[in-house]
Amino acid sequence: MSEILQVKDLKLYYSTRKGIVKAVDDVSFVLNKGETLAVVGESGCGKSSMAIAVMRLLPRNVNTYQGSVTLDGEDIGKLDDTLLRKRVLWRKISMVFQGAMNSLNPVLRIGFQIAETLLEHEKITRKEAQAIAKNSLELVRLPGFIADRYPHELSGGMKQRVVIAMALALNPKIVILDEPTSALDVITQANIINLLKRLKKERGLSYIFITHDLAVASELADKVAVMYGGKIVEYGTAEQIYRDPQHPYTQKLMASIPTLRGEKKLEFIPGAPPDLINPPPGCRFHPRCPYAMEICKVKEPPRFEVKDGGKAACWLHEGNNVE
Amino acid sequence: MAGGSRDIVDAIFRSKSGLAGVLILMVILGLSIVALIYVPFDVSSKWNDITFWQLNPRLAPPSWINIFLNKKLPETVIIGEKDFIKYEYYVETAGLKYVTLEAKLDYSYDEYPSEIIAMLYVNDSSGMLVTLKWIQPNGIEIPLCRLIVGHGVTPIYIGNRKDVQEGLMNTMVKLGIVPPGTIKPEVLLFSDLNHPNSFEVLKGIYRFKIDAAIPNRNATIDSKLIVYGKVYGLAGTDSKRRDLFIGVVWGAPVALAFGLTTAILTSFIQTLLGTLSAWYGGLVDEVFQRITDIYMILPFLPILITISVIYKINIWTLLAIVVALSVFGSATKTARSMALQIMSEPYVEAAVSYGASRRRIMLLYILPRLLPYTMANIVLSVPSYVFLEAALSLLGLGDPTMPTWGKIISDAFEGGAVIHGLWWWVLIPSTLIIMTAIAFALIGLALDKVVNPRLRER
Amino acid sequence: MLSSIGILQVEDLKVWFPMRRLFRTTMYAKAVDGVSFTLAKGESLALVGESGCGKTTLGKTCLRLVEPTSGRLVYKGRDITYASAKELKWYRKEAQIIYQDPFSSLNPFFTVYRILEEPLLVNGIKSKEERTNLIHEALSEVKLVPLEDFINKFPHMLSGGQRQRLAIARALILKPSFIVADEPVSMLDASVRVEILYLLKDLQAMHGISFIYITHDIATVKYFSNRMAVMYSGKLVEMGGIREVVNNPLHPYTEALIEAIPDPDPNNRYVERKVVPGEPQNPIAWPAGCRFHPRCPYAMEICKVKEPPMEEIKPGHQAACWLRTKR
Repeated sequence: MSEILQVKDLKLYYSTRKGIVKAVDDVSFVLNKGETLAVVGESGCGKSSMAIAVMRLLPRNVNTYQGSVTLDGEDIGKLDDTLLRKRVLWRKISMVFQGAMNSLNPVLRIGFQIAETLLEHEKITRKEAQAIAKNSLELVRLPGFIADRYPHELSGGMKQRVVIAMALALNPKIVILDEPTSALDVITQANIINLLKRLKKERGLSYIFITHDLAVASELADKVAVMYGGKIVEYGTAEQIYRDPQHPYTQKLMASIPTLRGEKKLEFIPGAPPDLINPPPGCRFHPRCPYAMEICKVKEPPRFEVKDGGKAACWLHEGNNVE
Repeated sequence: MAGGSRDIVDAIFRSKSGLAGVLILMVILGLSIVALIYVPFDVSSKWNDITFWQLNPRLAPPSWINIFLNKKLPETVIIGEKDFIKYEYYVETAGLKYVTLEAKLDYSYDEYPSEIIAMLYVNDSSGMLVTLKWIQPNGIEIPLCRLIVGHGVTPIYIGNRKDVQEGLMNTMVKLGIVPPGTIKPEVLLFSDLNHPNSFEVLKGIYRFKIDAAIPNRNATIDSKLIVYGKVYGLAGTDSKRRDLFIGVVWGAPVALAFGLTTAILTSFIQTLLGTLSAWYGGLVDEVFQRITDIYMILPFLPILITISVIYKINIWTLLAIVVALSVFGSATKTARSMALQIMSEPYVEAAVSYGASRRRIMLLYILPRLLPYTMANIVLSVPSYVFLEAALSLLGLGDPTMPTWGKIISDAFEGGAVIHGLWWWVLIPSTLIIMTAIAFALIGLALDKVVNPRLRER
Repeated sequence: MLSSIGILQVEDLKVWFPMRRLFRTTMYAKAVDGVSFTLAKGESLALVGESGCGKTTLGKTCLRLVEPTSGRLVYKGRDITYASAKELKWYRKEAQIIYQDPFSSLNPFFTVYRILEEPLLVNGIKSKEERTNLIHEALSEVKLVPLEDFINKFPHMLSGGQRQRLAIARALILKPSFIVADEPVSMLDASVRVEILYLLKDLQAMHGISFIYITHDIATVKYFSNRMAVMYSGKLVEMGGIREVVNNPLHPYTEALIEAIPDPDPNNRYVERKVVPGEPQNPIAWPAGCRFHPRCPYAMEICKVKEPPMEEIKPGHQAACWLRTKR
């Protein structure tokens, strides 16, 4: 399994009127070829910011942007914006944004919008682009006549498929999906997840799947990174995270998810997610952690290695090696 | 986000344009306060009373233009009755009382006066013979006129009288000087007669003498000499000698009151109607919207012109008509769509679920949300109403007695101000109208953030 | 737990919204198209379905926030189907609603105190002292304590979970007997959801309030309800005890719904989930016969023609499906 994406010490801070938001604070992970990494966390933990940080689609009010992103062996931090756009974005790595299905242009036909994506990046004629657009609709199991329809004529599930088709238009190897199913009904969601599973197998794609829904994440995840307060607090294989989580937050999170089958007493985590402008000192989870020790209030824990190659940023594992 | 009014005050004072606007408005408000203190009389009746303004020069530019001139224009000099030195003596044998009134005038201006008028106040049942003489600082004595004066007040227009012109001519001939072609008493009386064509003012002390031969022993005579200047006051005068500063100052509160009252009334009524339209929906909504459409198509000015041609209206009737023609307007539509948006929010429905009445919801939940918009709307529409009043006055359709800014400009045009270059008559009131409009527009600019929800940050 | 006479009886309720048409025939969006059920006193009934199935409309119609087109609503023995606003004044104290969005359901201009005071003022609680007591009581019940910390805050100063507690407090303050909770936790973070669900459950048990819990997330229903009704295309397709329905679904739609929901299990990624294709139709033109038949893997000829009636297939477990019907 070769590494296709390496992210090291990624930092993204925003300037806002109320202060500097430390949305992504020293995030590191590795994505292997043909693998799905699920990035899970609650609202405001920084997972969406991390996605745009990886793709370097920075907003206007960015304050700090640091870290290295290595894609297919190439450090894309060294590329200027034009080269990044020409060679990397959408060709090697593309993204399905949160709520993208509602951002389709309502006055343009579907086929036209997909073709536009192609024309932005490739020197082909409009006719060629339209043909490729039609093919990509087949890819996402939509009938060809959809190309002539307008977004408002499509259902939610169909719109999401269109957006996925757009993301796959230039055959990238990595696709970042930010909450691709949150706005969809359960059955439609299952359909879309099945589609994603199939596409991954057929085309050997690698996914970064961002969601707050741990249950949906388990549908695709080979590896899971749990984010809290702008940091990755636990990282490991899906088996580890779901069956034997090592970080108190992950443990509590797992215990708070209602399950349809089986009887489980739910636990909840008191308090609220941290303010990213003034995060608590030391470990960001300590105000809500049932095992908080003195050191947790003062010093941020590094990522310790836990069993089976996983990592957890918690002083409970102090004895282990640091990553 | 609570306290919409706090939002407004914040927006105004935090932005530069808002501060500038408020500043200008303060100045104009200051004028209004001045109006109420400095001009305590009832201006609108006095404005048309010619005798009230008698002592001012006609069509005089403001006196501060002297700062920019090399040759200073004169101000009006009035020598009142008390400043005349009186000699009286009675000659038994002739049965006549001789009275001499003498006034000294120290004239040191660079320019000639515009008019010279002597007022004679005679208390006599029969007439008396009066001789007027003019003595220049160089000693030259010029006989002005000789006439029989009856009881009462007699104005003597020294500049216009033929006998004054003859008197000047004879004096020059006697001195052996060639008289100029046209004899203007205001110029020649104040020039060295030895050099009548010099057009230089002879500065010094002049004397004005009145000799009266009075048969009636009990009769009295007094006089006032008015040497009219060429400049006056802060804003000059118009063709009826009216002090334009008073007119302009009085126009300030009228303009503001008219503009604000109309703006406030129309804004509030429109917003209320828009909200009602949204709340009741259905037929009421349809009807209100159609009425609004019709109102918006109606040609405002032609209707006003028609009404004021048929009926003579005063300014408050005008206000009432304008408001009546504006109860439905664009604010109705905006308020309606804003109200609809608010109504679709769950907390309004929640209020229904715990039993709040329609009226309560409208007054407590919806209207307060609309308040910032209404305020901004008021501020932004004031200039149009100020202009409207001015335009109507200009067309001669406004209140004919009140000295509003528009009326002053209207008088100016009628009085040929443009043709004769009487700039102060037109420019001073116009500038004030424009400044008022700018002040409100600047404040309105600062309020843009409040009005446009998209610009607001939660 | 079911009492023989329910607190709320819904009989063949229909809610049709007219859509504007240029021609004389008006088209209707049939959001609720013939729903019948009984809500027992002190019961919590979960109303489950996907978006557009009409569950929110049904819930709001039960509260008379939406006008019914036909059918009957009987609450505590009184027919409230077409009662006027004045006649409904008493109902407004009995029945309350909790909304999905904890921000837009609270007046942003009012403080916490004022938000809770409104229902009291509207319903004639004249003494300020009494109102303050009731408000403090309500806040304590939803655990928004210490009181001084919250009383004068505005909604935007509170977290999502706190706002929803406030919404619950507002619903409770008039001591209602019946509450419709419309997706009360879907907009909250995962770690907060449980807290709110348990709070609702405690309050329900303590006060004996009857609930209709509307949600699209079936996984949560067993934590707050004991009976569940599945809605599809404006009609109820299945109803019964939660464990019974989840473990033995009778209607193909319920089956499909349950199949589609993942539990957090890392083995999920190795298999494709069994799903039915398609999406629900739009409410203007439901399909003929059984509304689910275009997507149903078991569809028979009769399903395309005739609508199946809702029948009790097993004791306490009803379904509307030709496959299951005893006839």
